[in-house]
Parts: sequence; C-alpha cells; structure tokens
Amino acid sequence: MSNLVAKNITKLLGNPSQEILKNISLEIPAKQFVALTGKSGSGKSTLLYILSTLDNPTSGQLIIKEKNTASFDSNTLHQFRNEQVGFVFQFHYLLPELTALENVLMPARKMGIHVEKTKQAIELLEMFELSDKKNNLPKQMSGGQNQRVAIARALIMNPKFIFADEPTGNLDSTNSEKVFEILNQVNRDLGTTIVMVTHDVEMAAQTHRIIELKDGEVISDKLQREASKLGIEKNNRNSDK
Amino acid sequence: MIYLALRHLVSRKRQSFFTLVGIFFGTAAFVIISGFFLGFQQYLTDQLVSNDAHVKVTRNDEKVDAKTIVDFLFPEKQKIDWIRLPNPRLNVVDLSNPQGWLEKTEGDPRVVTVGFQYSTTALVLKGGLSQSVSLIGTEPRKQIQITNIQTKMIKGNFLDLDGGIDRLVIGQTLSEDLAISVDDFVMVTPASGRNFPMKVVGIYSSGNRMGERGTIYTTLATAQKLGGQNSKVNQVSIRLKDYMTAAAYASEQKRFSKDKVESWDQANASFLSIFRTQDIMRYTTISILLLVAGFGIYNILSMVVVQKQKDIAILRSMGFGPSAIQTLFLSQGVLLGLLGSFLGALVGYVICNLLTGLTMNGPMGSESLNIAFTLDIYLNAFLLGVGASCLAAYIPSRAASQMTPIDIIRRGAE
Repeated sequence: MSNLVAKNITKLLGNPSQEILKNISLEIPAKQFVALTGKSGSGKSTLLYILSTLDNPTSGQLIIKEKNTASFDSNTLHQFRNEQVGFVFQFHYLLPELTALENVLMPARKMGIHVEKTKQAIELLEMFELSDKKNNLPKQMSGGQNQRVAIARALIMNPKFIFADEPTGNLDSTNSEKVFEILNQVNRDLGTTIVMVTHDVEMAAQTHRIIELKDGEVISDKLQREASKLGIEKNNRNSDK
Repeated sequence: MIYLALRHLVSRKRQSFFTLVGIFFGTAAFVIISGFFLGFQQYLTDQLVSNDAHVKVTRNDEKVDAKTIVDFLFPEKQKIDWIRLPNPRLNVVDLSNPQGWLEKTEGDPRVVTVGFQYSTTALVLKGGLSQSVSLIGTEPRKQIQITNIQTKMIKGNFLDLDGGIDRLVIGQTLSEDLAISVDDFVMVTPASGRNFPMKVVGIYSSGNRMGERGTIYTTLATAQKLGGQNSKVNQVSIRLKDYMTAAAYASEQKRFSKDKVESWDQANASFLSIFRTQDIMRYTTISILLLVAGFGIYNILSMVVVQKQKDIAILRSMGFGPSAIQTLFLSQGVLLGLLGSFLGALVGYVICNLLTGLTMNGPMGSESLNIAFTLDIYLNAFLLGVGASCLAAYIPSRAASQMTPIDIIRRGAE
C-alpha cells in the first residue's frame, strides 16, 4: 500500500517565477527510508516541504493515506502535522528557553498531554543516550546532542512520517553517524516512514531508496532494497503481545 | 502557549523589566495625577456645596433700556430725544412671592430645607474704625441646615442669633481688624444712614479671608428692619438631599418661575470650567505616558518576533496554528501589562497615601493635601494600562501569526 503519493507536483517560486519542481510524480510506501539527493538548487528541499504539507504545490496533488491534502482545512492540517509528522531540520531548531525534556514534550502540549507523555520522552532521551542531559538548555549541549533531542521531539507523538532536511548537514562525522544510526533505528524498530534530504552519498547509500533530482526533475529513482521486513515482523510481534 | 510565553519573558529578564517599568510608570502616574486633581476638585466642590445653598432663588434682573421704552410708547416716531435717560431697572431686589416657594417645595422629597434671606449692605463701626459689609439676615435654625456655618463657628453659637434682637455673627478677620470680641457692641449703619447698635454673639472662620471680613450674619427680621423693608425677602435658599441633582432641579424650577433660580454649579460655572481644563490636562499627560509605554512594548515585541522566527517555524511545523503563535506573543504583552498595571496602581496608592500626610499652607490655612482614592481611578488606571499593552502587543503578535513556516525556512536557507 502506498502511503504517500505525489501526482504531477509543480512548484513555481520567485518573481519572475521559476519552475522549481517540474511535474513530479512519485509514490512512497509505508516504512520506507528514502533519501532525496541532488545538487543545491535542484529542488529537493522544496519537494520535501511539499511532501510534508508545510508548503503547497502550485499544481498537482498530494495524497497521504488515500486522503487528498488539498481537502484539509487548516485545523485538520495542524492536527495532521502534530500527530502524523515529525520534522528534523538542519539547524536543530530547539526552543532555546526550554530544557531538552521540555523541548521533546512541546508537540504534546498542543493536545495538553505533556504530562502523560513525560515517561515516553524520558525513554526517548535514554534511547538516544541523553538521559543525563534532560534538564539542560540547548546552549548547554553540543550540536549532535541538540539534533538528537530534535529527533526525540519529532518522535514524541509517534508519527507515521519523519521529514528530515539535511539532518546531519551541520554535524561532524562522528555525530553525523550517530544521528543517522538513530534515524535508521527509528525506521527499523518503529516502522516510521522517513524522507531525508541529504548531500552525503555514503549515507544515502544506506537507505532503501535514492531519489535524485536535477533542475526540478527526478533524474534517477533507485530502489536499493525492500523496506526492512524485520521492522514489520517486529511490529507484528509487538502487536501479538 | 502561555507557558512558553512565560519562559520567553523570564529568558530576557532585562527587556521584560524595562517594558514592565514603562507600563508601571504610566499607571502609577495616572493614579497619582488623578488622585491629586480629583482630590483637589472634590475638596473645592465640597467647599462650594457646603458653604452656600445648593439652589438659590433671587429676583431676576429686569433691565429696561431707552429703546424698549421708545418702541413701546412712541412706535410711530422716528427719533426721540431724551432730556434725561430713564432708570434702566427697578430699585427693588426682593422676591415678589417668597411664600410661593415654601408651598412649592413643601413635600418635595428632593428638598431638605428651604430658608429665607434678606441681605443689605452696611457699615460696621467700632472705636473710630469702619468696614463695609454685606449684612445677611437668615433664619438661623434653617441656615445651619442649608450651609455648614455652624461648624465654622470658633466662638459662640450661630443659634445665639435667635436669643434676642439686634445680634450679629461676624468673621474672624473682621473681628481682628476692628478688635471686636464676643459680647462687644458695634454700630451698624445701613444705606438708610440710621445707626443701630448691635451685639456680637459669635465669630466664624471660613478660611476665606475676604468673606470673613465682608460678610456678617443676623436674623431675617433684624436685617429687614435695617434695610427698611419689613417682611421682604431677596433670596430663597434651598438645600437638596443630593447636591449633584441641583442643576437639574434649578432648570426644572426655572421653567415655572419668573425668578432667577441658580444651582451652586451654575453659579460657579467659570470655576468649574477649570476642572474640565484639568481633566483634559490629566488625560493628555496620561495618554502620552501610556503611549510611550505602549511603544516600548510594541518595539520590543516586534524585535522579539523577528528574532524568534525560527521558533515560530518550528512551532508551526509541530502543528501549532496561527492562533497559538498569536497567543504566544500577545500574552507576553498582556502579562507585562497586567503585572505592570497592578504594580503601578499599588505603588500609586502608596504614594498617594504618603502625599496625604503632607501638609500645605493654603488659603484655608495649614491643612493636609486632599487626594482622591475612589475605586474609579484605580479601575481606570488598571484598564488603561492593560488596554495599552494589549493594543501594543496585538500588532506584532498578529504579524507573527501570519508568518508561514515555509517562508521562514526558505529565508533561513538563503
């Protein structure tokens, strides 16, 4: 079953307007880990934000779980982002006034369930080896630690999708590996669909599928391996319990 | 969102503090300035209301000029030469039907007391010294209800006037000028030129030195005798239950009478217009203060919104809607406004209390400053303070709510 379907997505930007995305159609099945690659200016980030509903296409349709996103009113859209989507940005964008734990719990505040979610938030921080940093402010942690907190935040509402815009773009290689390993782990163990924009060829090579863009068009779409059966089996086993 | 707003405020303590101070000063100034001016106004109003009747009925000045007479007597003549110009008005000042006023006011629930007065000018002579005065004949038992003269007596009792004929109550200044003390006899000479020896039975002090020198009191009958106008009355004084209704009452009565009916505030209209000027001044000053404070909030929040664009983007990507973003910034202004206004009103109250302790040498002698403490002032100050902050915070918070996450991210990427 295709989870996320883009049909004939076109995006015009700027004045005079330029065609950033040209008639892009693609399907992303559930639990797939997709790398969007391409040179800067190829339109990969724009595509990511359209796929994640943060931006609107100029024309074309985005269908998520068989629902056309154009039919969403703004409240449904906000609710959808809150419950189904997690974002990880290049600049790890934590709220500087809040501690690591409070940042992780921020999405839960929208629904007023941050108290119930505290246990899960602490577990997520433990999973990312950050349990001793939970009361630190973002400025008291390293960039890699900040990014891991941001991933924990993206996961707190158990989203179906994670959209990551060069999540390791600002990190050294050790931290990059750590962050990527976490994303891999999330995809494998939780079955979360991940769409990640990256420049890193090595990293892209470890995902399920590489979609390469150039000048707003898909120039290659390479399926490297099927989405992990292990994750599905694991989930099945969990639901059996 | 209010939770995050609080964290924002705490994280930039200095900015928050100075914004708070702006609103704080505006509100405190409102309370102090209002307390001061309204206290002064209340004090003067009290003086006006209690020193004189609420409503006075006197004879209407009917002036007749030469032209009116000519038009009436010789309508067909083109030109009339007067040998001597006619007297423009009647030489009478008494009311034609004072008893009518008694009947009219009887049983009116708004009226407390109605008293007759007859006043005339006279000279007071004592030991070769003299002073011209206005001699006011009153009904003492009623007069002490109509005005607060009894409370102003420093020697004797106003009701002693009733104890016999030809008795006087004089002001403190006159008693000092002419060296008169209680139980002294003075010579009173009205316009008729006859001399009347009269006994001083009391001395009052109103605080108004001019009045104390120029106004003396006796009974209605004595004044009528001195004026040679037996049983004539030239003023009906009316005391009402509520002095605020005096103007309405006077206007109502004027419609049914040819007499001149005037309330205390109509009689002192020029005086009361000063109050209006003061009010304009008061509101102008306070508006400017709050405008400055409002601009402080506006400036700082506008800056913060720009600085916090990435936070807005991340919050929006988490699924917080525009209204949540607006709440985040609006509530910061409102919180500062609430706290600043509350503290301002509180400190204003404390300062007003301290000011009350100050004494001033005024025309009425040494007395403490009159500061108003009505709830109105505090409510107004608080509401104005909060209102100004809300308004000032609204504009930047609205701008913040209309930023879209994708625009912010795209700008950040450039």
